[in-house]
Amino acid sequence: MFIDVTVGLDTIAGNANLTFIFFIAFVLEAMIAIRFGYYAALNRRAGEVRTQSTLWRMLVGVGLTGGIYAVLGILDVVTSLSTPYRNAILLAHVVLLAMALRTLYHQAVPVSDGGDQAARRTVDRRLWLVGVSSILAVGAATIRFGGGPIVFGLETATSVVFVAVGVNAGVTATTESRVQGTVVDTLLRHLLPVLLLAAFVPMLTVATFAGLPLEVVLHVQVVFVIMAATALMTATIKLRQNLAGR
Amino acid sequence: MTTDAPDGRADPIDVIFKSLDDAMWGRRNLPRLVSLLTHESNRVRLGAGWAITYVAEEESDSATYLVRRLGDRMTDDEVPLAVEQTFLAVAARYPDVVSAELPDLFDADQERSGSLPVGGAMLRAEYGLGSNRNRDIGRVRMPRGGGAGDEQQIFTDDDIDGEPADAASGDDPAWAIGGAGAGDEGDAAGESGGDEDATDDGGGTGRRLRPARELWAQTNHLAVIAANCRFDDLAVMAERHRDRYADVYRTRADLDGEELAVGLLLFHEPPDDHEAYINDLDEALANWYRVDDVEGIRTLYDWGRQPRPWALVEYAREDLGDRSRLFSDTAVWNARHLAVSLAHVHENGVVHAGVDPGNVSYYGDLLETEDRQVPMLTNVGLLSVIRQYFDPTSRLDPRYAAPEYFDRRFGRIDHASDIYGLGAVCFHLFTGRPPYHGDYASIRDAVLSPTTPEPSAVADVPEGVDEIVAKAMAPDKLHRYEGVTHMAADLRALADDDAADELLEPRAGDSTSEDESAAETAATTAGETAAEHQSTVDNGSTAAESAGGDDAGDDGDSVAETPDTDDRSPSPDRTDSRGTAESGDSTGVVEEDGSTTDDVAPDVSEESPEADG
Repeated sequence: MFIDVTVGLDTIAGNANLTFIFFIAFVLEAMIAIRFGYYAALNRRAGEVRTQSTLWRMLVGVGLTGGIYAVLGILDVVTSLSTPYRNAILLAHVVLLAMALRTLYHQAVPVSDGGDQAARRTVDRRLWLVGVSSILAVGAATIRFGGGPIVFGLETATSVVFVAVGVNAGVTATTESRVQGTVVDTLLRHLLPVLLLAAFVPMLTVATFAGLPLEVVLHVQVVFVIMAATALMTATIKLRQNLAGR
Repeated sequence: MTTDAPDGRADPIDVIFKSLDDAMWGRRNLPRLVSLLTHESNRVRLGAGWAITYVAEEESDSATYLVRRLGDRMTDDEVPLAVEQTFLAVAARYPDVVSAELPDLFDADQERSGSLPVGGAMLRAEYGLGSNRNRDIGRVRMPRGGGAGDEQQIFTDDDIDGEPADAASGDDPAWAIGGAGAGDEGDAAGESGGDEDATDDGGGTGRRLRPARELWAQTNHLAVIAANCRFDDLAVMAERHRDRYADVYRTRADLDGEELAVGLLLFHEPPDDHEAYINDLDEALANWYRVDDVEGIRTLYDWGRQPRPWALVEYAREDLGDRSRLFSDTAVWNARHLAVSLAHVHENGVVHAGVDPGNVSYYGDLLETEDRQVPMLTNVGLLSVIRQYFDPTSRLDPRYAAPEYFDRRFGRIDHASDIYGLGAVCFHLFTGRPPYHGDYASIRDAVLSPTTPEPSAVADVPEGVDEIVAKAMAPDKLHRYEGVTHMAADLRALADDDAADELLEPRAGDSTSEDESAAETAATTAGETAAEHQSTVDNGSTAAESAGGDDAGDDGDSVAETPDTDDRSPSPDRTDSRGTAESGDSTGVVEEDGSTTDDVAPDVSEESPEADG
């Protein structure tokens, strides 16, 4: 298989300018996402409280998925390898971000009775089920069929659902007075824009079915990739500050 | 011309005045002056001491006689305070004469220690100080031997009525009130004598007299420090006070003609890694020096390594642990000041790591009970070093310690630990008692539990205090205030006044905020909550866990460059008028609250500070 892969510029949508911008965006995203995951891992090691550990694991996943997505994008540009399935990785990135926000929400607004706690867990399990199923379906369908309206529709729908989940959790938590001024508050405020911007990338795919030329959609997507990367960078700074105790 | 007393001898007061007028005359009458040191009148005794000191200063050849006469008295079973103080004054002025005339007092092994046992003749001088009533409040030490019950149970509280809260429930050990023996086990071997003294209680009975040779060693240490510090002169004004980190002396320092009340800290020395300890301590003190330019942080004037690690700090008479519950507005005012001061520390990359009432100092000596004094954070960053070389449980008050001190899983000691400590201190400010009490195990469990203490459950507090304390004392760091500034903002919201921006004004010419607060009451509520003092605990499995290097200093940003020694001149800016010594308040001791206990070293005691401010 690797024998078939050749190194060389593989333009995206046959547009050299767009390819160059995507390359820059992917490199930026790869570096920042991996760094984000690295500091999340260090934070996890620094504080081993169980509830925190879950959160940090998710954030490590966020960094890894973002990094893998970007690396695959780079490979797509600089080799003959085609990686359309990277959109499934990006979807995983979005799902993990949303669930991380929901975890922060749980920590910020603890329930008082066991019934609510059980209900939350049930909702979380279902969300995980929906998210993982969608990711697998998108990935498999992309590999098998190379995309198509159903795949793009599923990708967009999943992104919308998890953006809604994440935004709801984030906004609800940040309005809680007991959260304001805390580390949880800051993490929520940093991760929310990352989720929104990253989710726009797969969501925009559906625009091609609205008649927009693919090249235009890709141009818009690359902008959101860059914006998501920069938002992730500020979140990385926060993780580093948290690690340094400042 | 002197008047004759009925017994035919000259009137003692006249003798004193005559000696002060004419040192030569006084020299000829030294036997009479020395005899007056045991006069029945306190006024005469004190006057005789001053006169002898003056004569010794003016007539240097009188030193030999005085050292002999007074030195002989120092070996008595009961040494009058006036005799003792006068001997110390003369010895400090003529250490060579002491070593020459009293060679048997010199012991090279003892000299190094310089760490005198708690108690002893000097400390019997309690009667010469202010009230000692607080010695018996909230001070505990580990019962040893015949002590009652679980050695882990080393904490107590005073309830609102001043009665030991847990004693009432019967589940606390028989608390023994002690002096500062905090962690004496970690001190140099030369301090072994402290064990005997530590068995004495605060009542002063049964104290072992301090050997005169130890007094000599002490004097020698002070003389060396006085010669090497940046002050023109340094004179000890009160007896040693045993603190958690150091032995503390109240001294009077002269700088360019200005007199300052200064606390001299002689840090305890660990049995091992002496050189590394001194280096780390030096670095920590440099960090403290770097951030002490605001009024809410106790000024560090100077420090050094020889003859043992020492530091000269701003004089403070009492600490927060000596204070009872404050009125709400005063508590808010204090909390805001502390938050702003701590924010200043953090902004400079320093972590205090030991925020508790014992490390919040006040000048004391309020002229009016309505006056307020700015609380000062003290011992900034020292615990991070101390706990590396001593049993941390003997230097840390677990009632105010963050979970990360007990369990590594909660992370390392960093600025969030300070926020937790500040939250616990706020609890104390608003309620007059610590957030947790009981035996060590129960404190540890409570600290590590997900619930946070509610001040409103203990006392009437302003709305919002519960939330602030809960956010500051959240077990998980993620749920604590991200920065002290956030906490300060919430505290500011509790009060209407907007003087927060004035809190960090430079020291030069500062007059504190007492003026603006003159109308507010800082009086303590009598009968409510006796002053809580730190106690400590021991537990081999706890705080020691956190001593594994995860200290504040891990953050490279927090390590400050040690300033050049030559730059440590205590400029007039840093020796503000607040510390100026006045004759009227010269009886206090520097307040560095210490508290300790330890189940390994049994003979711990605590020197109670004077808390009658």
